[in-house]
Amino acid sequence: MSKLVISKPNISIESARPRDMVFDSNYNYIKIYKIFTGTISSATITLSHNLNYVPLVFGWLKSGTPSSWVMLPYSDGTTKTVYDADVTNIYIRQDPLGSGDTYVVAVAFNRGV
Amino acid sequence: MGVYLGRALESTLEIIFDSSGEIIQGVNLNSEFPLLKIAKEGRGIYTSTVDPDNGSITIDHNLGYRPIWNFWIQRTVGGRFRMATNNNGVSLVNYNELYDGDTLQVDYLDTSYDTSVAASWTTSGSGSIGVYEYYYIIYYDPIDDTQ
Repeated sequence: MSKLVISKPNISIESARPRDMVFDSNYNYIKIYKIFTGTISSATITLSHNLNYVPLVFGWLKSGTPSSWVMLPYSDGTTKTVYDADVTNIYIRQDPLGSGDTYVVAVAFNRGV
Repeated sequence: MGVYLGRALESTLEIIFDSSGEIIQGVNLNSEFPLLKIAKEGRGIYTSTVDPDNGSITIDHNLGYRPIWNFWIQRTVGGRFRMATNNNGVSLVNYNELYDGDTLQVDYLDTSYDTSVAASWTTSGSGSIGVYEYYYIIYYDPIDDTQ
């Protein structure tokens, strides 16, 4: 069984534990398929991925004053921003709609939930 | 026949599949930067025994240190999976994700043990017992690399 292994600096691949690896083809990884960025301009933002299965998705939001990046889902106590996915699309939903928050959504090739 | 590249070679492996590789975002693999390695992933069903619903799970990993991990949850009837984030108290449900208008909230993600991780959640409302589906990914990579 062939494999590709890269260990961290000053660590031999012969003695490296999984956590010591930069890359080890024995393990699975999050493989990024597409990254969407944009502004939440409506209560529901629909992003098409067309993978034909529900992918693993990670989302972030830039919001607030001063603005900072937060991981989704997020609530500041008033506005709630969430996302979900089906076999065709990613949906970002914000209630109540804010004043143009910025989002980043990373869609992985990995099957999600 | 395997291909082995180690730091003993004092070399850097870089795999670039497009011309934008001069910026790190365009590099598919660069050995200067470790990747999150999935140690364990899975899903399960949890049936609440109280009303209003709540629940908690503990997932063993036995890594001997505290790993990075992600957790998603939904109530299976009328629910949608939501990633749990660390801004404690965030309501994970809105837009009628729960068929009865209840809200699902992950109260904590516990990463304080070397052998397991845990999550706890509560659901508002009363009159029904919830069945939840959860999904998790635990990585080999520790939260604190000095552990």
